[in-house]
Amino acid sequence: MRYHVRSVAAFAAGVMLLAACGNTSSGTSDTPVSGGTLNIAMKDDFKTLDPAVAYDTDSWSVERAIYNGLLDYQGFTTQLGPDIAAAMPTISSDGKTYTFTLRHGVKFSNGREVTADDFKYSFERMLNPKTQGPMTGGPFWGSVSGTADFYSGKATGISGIKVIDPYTLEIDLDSPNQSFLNVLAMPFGFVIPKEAVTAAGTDYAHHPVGTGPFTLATWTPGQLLVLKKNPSYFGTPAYLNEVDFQIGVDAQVGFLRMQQGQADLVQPDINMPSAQYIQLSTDPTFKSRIVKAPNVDIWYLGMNVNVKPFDNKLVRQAFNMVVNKANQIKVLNGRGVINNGIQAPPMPGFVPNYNPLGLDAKGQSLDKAKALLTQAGYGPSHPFPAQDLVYAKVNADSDNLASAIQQDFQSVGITINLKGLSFPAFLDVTGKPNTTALSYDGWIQDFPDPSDFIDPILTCTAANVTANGGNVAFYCNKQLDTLDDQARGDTNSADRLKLYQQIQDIVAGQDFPWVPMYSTLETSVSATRVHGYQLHPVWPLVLTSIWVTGGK
Amino acid sequence: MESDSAGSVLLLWRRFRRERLALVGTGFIVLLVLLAVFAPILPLRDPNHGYYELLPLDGRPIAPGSVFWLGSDPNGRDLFSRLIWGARISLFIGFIANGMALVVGVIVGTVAAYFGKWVDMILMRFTDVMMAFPVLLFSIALIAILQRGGNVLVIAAVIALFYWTAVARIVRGQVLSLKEVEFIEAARSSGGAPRHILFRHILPHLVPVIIVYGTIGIATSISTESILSFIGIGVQPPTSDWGKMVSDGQSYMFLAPWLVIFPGLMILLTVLAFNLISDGLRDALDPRHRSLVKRVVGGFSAGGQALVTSPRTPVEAESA
Repeated sequence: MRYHVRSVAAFAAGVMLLAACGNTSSGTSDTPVSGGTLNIAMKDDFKTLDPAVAYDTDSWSVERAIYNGLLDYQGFTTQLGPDIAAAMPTISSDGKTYTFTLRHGVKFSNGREVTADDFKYSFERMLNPKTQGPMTGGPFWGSVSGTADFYSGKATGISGIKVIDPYTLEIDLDSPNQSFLNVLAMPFGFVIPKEAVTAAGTDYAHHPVGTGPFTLATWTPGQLLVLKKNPSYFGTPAYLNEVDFQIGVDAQVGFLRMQQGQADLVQPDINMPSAQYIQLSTDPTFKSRIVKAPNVDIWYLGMNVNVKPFDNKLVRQAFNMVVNKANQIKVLNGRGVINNGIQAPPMPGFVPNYNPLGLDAKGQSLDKAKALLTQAGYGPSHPFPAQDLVYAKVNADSDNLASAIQQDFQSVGITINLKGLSFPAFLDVTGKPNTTALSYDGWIQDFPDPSDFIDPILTCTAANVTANGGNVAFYCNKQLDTLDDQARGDTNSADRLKLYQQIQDIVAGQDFPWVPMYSTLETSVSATRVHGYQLHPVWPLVLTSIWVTGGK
Repeated sequence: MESDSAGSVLLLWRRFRRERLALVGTGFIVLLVLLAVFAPILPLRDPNHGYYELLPLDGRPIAPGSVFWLGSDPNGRDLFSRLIWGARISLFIGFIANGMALVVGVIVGTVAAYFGKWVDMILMRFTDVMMAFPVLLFSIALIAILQRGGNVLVIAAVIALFYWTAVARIVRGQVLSLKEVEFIEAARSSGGAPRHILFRHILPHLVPVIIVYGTIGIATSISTESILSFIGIGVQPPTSDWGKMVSDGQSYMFLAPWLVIFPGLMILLTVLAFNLISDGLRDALDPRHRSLVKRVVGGFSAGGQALVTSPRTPVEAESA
């Protein structure tokens, strides 16, 4: 996920000391009780609840409660298991044909049973250019047979998605894709009923119908969104009867409300802002209620390789030696670890203490940086041109992080001007080719597979996207793409991870489109009446494990 | 007003120094201006340098004490130094914005009143239109359109754009009454050109009003500038100014209250000081009226908005 609401606010984010940091759940040993209402304070309204379109953690928090897909992560792990599928699919020996058998008796909240046709309909609608979803034409679903013809309008359906019988679905790929099951488990793979889409006209985004543990009861835009327990849910029922998302509450007010017992969770899909984190981590009531888990993200400076002066590799290499990454983490209250690579812990294949440039403990090598800049032709007679650092401005933490970078570059005689933009404006200017030279970016995993940190943000395919692209450096290296294609189909997982490490060496040790900086630790806190609240390694919010005691 | 200007200044000073509160205000402003002007040569830390190495591991701002007198912000920057450097920006914008507003306001007010008829009609209706704009909303729109959020001159100009109207009205009122006074009529009947009459006879009589209103105007401009910075369209980081410091510090209100208290106090004291000075000047210039602390406080808390929208400000009512 590129920088959405979650990553943006994850500016206030921090990391990783992994399990050492402590508990990932705040609950007690009490037996769960059913009933009650959970109150969640949110800052912004939800953009959409159409799973074909939503690509931000706010929306995903609600979608996860309303919908289901073929597969899902088991409990609070990264292990995939069947959801609406009755079992894991059978995969042909060439790795190209996936056959799913569906559970019987899974019903949409409108009472109709889910069949294989609904999946074919949902997938085709999600990839249809008319739906204007972010998956269309992208790398994740690109290996499904017949997508190219479908996008171009040559075919009315996707030939690779076949309904064998009402309970059997077959998906054919053009080439093997080891992360395809993860792709299916993303919200873009959720099933929706055709009749609900037809009934909603052009506004399905506000009238979602799914199979999940909750259903949407009311949604007053800008004020309140209410979920009610779904009595006909096929899985283990949720404890909560109702979940109220109170919209328009900023973090500062939200945390005050929580301390006064008026809110149970505050923007649970984003990291706690620095001030509240420090304050609550010393509060006797709340310090033990703070839950922590790796965010599986990477924060970096993106340098557009097509824009001067970053078209010069020596300059990009020099920039890699300037940022004091330890200071960035300090601004984030120590909620982070220095990361000199492109993968984040605890992603499979992550290399701990990766340091291809021999940087010091702060992530710097200032003398070498100066030497490289001289070699690139910059010096007293030809000073380095001042650069704008473009960043998304979400709170005081954003300015603080950017100011620290500014100071770092001052020490090698480079002037950096800070250009803080609103989040949508930031996405707009960094996603367009030849528009932004230097930006402060972040990437958070969509699913726990290393391909997610390469396909959408570092490949030539991603560099060719002309709007809202994830490859902010517009970096393209054919050799990397070849290795990436090879890795995607490699069935030997050890070999596959080695290929991804090779790719990391090319990016972080040879071509330098980024200045990788750090990965963060996600922190969240809940009111005292909340039990069983845990951070999920993939999902931004899981409501089904939560129960409440006392209060309304 | 005496024709001997040196004598009148002396007389003014004699009266002014009886106003204790105004003297305190003057002392404060003089000290602040000196600190601001000499900030670059004072032994202060760089206001924009973050002493990250001094921050504890959890990045908690450092409390006021021996390391940083007034504490540090979450970037390890010296709050004391940022306050002094912030004064440069706040005072600069205050003086410049108010200067521009005075020049425009005096010209418009004088011309409208002196020439009367349709000139007065057009200029004053235009003034009314400008007064009708919601100041903050329009400033935000204007700064956004100009895309010059960080430019202090642009910010000053935008503030001036709204505050000249009040000056224009007051000056017009003054000139209207002056026009009927015998010595002006005498000057006119003895063939004085309008320019001569305006500059030699009318303008000198406007000086007290301009001085008094100018001092209050600085306070108004400074508080407006703080508001603009607070909502994020004033100066840009890492430059420090008081409004932005309060804004940045608000999320740390409970954890590091000094981040909000000190810059907030600076805004309060500076605006109060200018109001006290203005009150003292008014009394010194027009000894028939005694000052009431209540009036000062009322003017202060009402801020510029009330002065702008109310046609009968204390200044106008008393000087007319």
